[in-house]
Amino acid sequence: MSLEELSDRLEIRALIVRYSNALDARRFEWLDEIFTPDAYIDYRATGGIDGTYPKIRAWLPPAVGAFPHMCHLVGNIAIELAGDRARARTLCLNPVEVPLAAGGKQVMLLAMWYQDELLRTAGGWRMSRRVQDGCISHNVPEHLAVLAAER
Amino acid sequence: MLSLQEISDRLEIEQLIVRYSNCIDQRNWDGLDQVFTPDAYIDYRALGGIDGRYPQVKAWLGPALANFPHYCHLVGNIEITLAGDSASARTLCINPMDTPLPAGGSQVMFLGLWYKDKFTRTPRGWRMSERVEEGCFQHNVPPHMAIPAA
Repeated sequence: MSLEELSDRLEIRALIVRYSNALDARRFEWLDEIFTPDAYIDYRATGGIDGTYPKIRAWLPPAVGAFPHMCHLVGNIAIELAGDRARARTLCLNPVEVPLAAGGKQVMLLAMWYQDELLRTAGGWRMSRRVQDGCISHNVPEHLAVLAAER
Repeated sequence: MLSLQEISDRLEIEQLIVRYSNCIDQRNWDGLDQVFTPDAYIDYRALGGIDGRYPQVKAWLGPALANFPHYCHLVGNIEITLAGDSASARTLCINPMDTPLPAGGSQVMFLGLWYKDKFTRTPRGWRMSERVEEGCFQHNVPPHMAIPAA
């Protein structure tokens, strides 16, 4: 691999990790430097919405506000480079601590793939498209069963 | 574009973070001498451990982890910020622990946490000068285990 290809691969991996950290640390403003302004995002596979970035940016904080602890562990990052564009497929294991109405809490485990399209911009690589492809859902509390049902 | 130096630094720091997990999981306490600086500050309090300088924490680890026959520390989401001869990183760790129960048998609990690290470049390579835990989710923790709520 050329130095440029090594650099592109590390920068794209870092962008994918940065997305997880933005959600998990609730630093939603970091997303402005992850997505292009007109990026298309589709969370419907795990019960969310789809739309362009501004709509998703507004939807996210209240949507994940119900979950006190969660993480989005990414791995299996397969990147295909094509000049100033790239595609990636990434596996995500997503444990989410869910408060229960009756008190206490329950950890559900979701898994999904992210199917991404990326662009090289003047500010570095950005995601122009992220579509979830659902995988397992385990230990989902009854009141959130819609997540599993809609998949 | 990243320089060859920056790519090398990032890969070396990632390897150091993985080496920590392997030392802990193989109970190779002396191996940690090649991970931490001698005066590194380590804070395990978020998951019920101690904090202190490296020699104190190294001596504490063996007995503390002897209670757990099987465990692993899978790391991912390693986000590194380089600044010349120093660096910082945030790393996610998924930590399944096989925990013996007072009544016999065992139960596997799953802990999620982040490591917030600082690094320094030394003549023998990158070393960790600070590691502070931040708690995330806790699943299937036996009632007798005292882990602070994250």
